[in-house]
Amino acid sequence: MQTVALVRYLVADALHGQRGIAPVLSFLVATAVLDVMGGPVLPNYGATAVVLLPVALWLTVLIGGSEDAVQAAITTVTAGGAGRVLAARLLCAYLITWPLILVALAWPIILGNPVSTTVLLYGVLAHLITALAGVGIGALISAPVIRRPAWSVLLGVGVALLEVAVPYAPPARQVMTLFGHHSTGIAAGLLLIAVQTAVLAAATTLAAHRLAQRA
Amino acid sequence: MCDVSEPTGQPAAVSTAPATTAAVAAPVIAQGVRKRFGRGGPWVLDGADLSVPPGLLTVLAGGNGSGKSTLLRLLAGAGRPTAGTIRNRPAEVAYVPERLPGRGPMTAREYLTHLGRIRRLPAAVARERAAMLFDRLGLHPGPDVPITELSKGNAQKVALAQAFLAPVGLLVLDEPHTGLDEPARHALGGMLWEARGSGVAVLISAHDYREVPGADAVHLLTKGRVHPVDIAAGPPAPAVAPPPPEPAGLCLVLRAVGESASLAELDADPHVTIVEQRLPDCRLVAAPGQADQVLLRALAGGWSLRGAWPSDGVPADGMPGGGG
Repeated sequence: MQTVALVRYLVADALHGQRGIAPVLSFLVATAVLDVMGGPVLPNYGATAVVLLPVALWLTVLIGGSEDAVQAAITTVTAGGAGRVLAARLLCAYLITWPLILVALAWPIILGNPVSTTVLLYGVLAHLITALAGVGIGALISAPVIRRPAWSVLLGVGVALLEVAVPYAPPARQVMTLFGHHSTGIAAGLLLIAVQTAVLAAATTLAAHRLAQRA
Repeated sequence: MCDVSEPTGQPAAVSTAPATTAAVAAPVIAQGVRKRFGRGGPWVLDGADLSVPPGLLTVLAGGNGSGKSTLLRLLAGAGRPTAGTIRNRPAEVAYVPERLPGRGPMTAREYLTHLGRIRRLPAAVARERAAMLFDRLGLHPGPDVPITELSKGNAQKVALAQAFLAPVGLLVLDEPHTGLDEPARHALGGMLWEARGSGVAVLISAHDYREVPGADAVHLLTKGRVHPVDIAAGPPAPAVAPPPPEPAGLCLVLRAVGESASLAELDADPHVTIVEQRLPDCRLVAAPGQADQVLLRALAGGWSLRGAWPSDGVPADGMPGGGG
């Protein structure tokens, strides 16, 4: 109940400030371009899932810094702890990615490409995984851990580049490889990446909470 | 190591209407609290002890940069001490900052409705409570104006109203009277009186405790430590003493830049008189003939020179561009 109220407040704050427009539009444009280029749907889902990671990271950084430090102090005290507010912030960023995932999954279907239920499910899972990774990493490079937006941007761009450039980097590059070069074992591969990502997100969230306490 | 105990106790009521009382049994206690920002920063709080009993109005007085706001934030739960403990913090706490900056077009009514929901109030009840509090504090031009467009005093009324939305056990207010008009000060006095009567532990910071009528206990925060002030003993002494005349010598303005920079170490030097501290800066007077040695020791101790001039015994205006 309290988490719902916190998420509602943070979403309202983000909507009021219109700060999420840039990452949302970036994702929609990237999705449209990737799908217009054509080709099989599964690799396209892999590509949009990869793009979603930095977008989720960007949203997390924006939501983390949306409140002034003084307002954030009031929210923390009102909610009864910084941990609750951090959890709500991350949940808020994750939830905002869901409509984007819906668009990414539906766009090839709207364009008339045949999409099987299995491919659709792989697509859902892949996007949920990369969004989770983006939110988890975003927790570590946003306020209150890092209060200077320039540092957040620099680190965010660095992480996004590493995710795409480093072979087998979990989870973005792994998803891209899995969807682009494999025809069997995709379900098992995705499940493994999902577990890795859940562990990564839990670890970064815990680290973010610890580091924020020192600030 | 820092040790902050889990919230305990039952929430008491803060209300503009007759309150239901469920007071916190034990005082909220800060014990040996130390705080610095960053690894190499100077200690803002250096072993602060403070007890905030339920049903009493406790005032924490101190000058600019003395660390009042920091100690209040730690007691409210908006931060953690670097070392020391905060004990018996109740489950429900309200915190009023010195100023409320608004961002975006969220109105005062929307903001309080959201905070009311976070405090587990139904939205309708939160809106009703907010309307009543805005009315009592005299919010102008009204609750449907974005907080960013409110004057400083009216933004402060919004900050105050959010603290009285729901029952709490501890009420922490950082210089709440700043910028308030007389009717709002009067209304705040009544609300604080009701809160205290309901068994709420109330902690208020002020430059001078005489700004807070009806204080039950007064403490003075200076050099990172809290000292009790005996308000019962004779006429009230000023919580913030007027600046003493500066001794003759060379006035130095130093900034802490190294991890080892210690105000206590400077203060311990018999040739040094510290006349002002606004961390990370401090202004001191080195005794005649000792300035070179004092400066050398300070530089070696992690301080950086920001300015120097002869001191003729007259209090100076302050530090040039000093930190707040």
